[in-house]
Amino acid sequence: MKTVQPLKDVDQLGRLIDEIGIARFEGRCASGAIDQVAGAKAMQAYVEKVSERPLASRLAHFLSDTVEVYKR
Amino acid sequence: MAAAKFKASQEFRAKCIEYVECKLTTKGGYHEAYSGFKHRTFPYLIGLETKDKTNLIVASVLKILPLFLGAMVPVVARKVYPQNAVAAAAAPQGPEAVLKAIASIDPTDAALIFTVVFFTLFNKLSEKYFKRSKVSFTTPHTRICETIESLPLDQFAGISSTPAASDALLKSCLAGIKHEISVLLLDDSEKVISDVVYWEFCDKTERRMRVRSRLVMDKPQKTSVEAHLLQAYYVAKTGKVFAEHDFQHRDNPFPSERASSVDNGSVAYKSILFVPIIINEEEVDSAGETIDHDYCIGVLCVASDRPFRFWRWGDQNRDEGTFGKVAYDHIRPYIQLVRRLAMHGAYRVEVNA
Repeated sequence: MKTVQPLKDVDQLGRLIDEIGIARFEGRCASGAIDQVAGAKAMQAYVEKVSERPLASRLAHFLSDTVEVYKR
Repeated sequence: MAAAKFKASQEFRAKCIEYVECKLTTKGGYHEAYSGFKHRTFPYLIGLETKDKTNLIVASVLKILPLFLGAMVPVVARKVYPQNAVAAAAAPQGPEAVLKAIASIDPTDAALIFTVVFFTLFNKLSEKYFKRSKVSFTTPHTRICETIESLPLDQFAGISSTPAASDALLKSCLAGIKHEISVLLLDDSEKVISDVVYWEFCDKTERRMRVRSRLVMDKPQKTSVEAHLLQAYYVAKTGKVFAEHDFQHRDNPFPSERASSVDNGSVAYKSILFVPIIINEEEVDSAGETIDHDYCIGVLCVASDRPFRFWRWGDQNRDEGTFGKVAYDHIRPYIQLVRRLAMHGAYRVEVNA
């Protein structure tokens, strides 16, 4: 039987999250199919990327003095 | 009769699958932007959503007024202290001079003032825009998740000694999820989230689902429900986090009666965040290729009575939305715990590739 090595490349993992979604990716991390540390790094970077706010949103928060939720 | 019923059921399924797939794969566009702005963004910005009733207009005026006053200073100073010696001698002195100077601001002066204000604001905005927070790769969540994953499994998930204790822990997780999402919604009172429910499958045929645990047990519960009537089932099949912004909207094909309670009362909630709990198994085929099989063992449903709670401005331009992903990241430790607690003996459905 072939020994399967867990995926470790963070960039590749980021693309995988885009493809299969964050919940399935987490499931694969939990099962060991994806290296846990690399998986956590990829997920962190991915969430940082998707939570960037558009300029209109930044402007509105700046003017209204309200908290940007994702940055709390 | 039976054939007609079967056909109607198949049509309903097809409509539900199309609805969920369409929501996951297409951007919301202008329509979603309008509804989201109306129900979520605007009330938040004018202070209706938060405890402090900071008014958008008041806040904006308080921020911009000093800028305008600052920009006016050189213009007014030029008028109060004319360069010409004769004019200076004839010019009024003191506060009267300042008021007269303000009253005599012409369009050229106004343009100068606006230019100063614009560049000052632009500078501040660009600072905010280009400021990138450094990504911390090791968060407290990462460590907690690793710890939970390394817990040994025994008959009751290695965490508790009895099924009752396991169920109590599961309910505690749901309470934790409610708290985390409330923090994300800036809802200190924790009133925006009305309920958190964990649905699981009753058998391996995928036909029926039941509520394994829920926070608000206000009505007698059915023992099981036909899975194809539940939006949670279709989300389970996709394996993706899904935010329903208005469950009672006419485009939503799902019945508006409460599926889980015996009396079938109408649903109060409008926003639901569906979080499927996924496990994975790898197989190596005869050619030595690794094949990943993802299975859903249950779905967490976070419900709110208000529409567009799990939405942020900008989500209309992303096909899967952003809020669900950020929320998932916030509740990851609880998801890990729920997985560990629920996976033992759970029925599972394979996620569509």
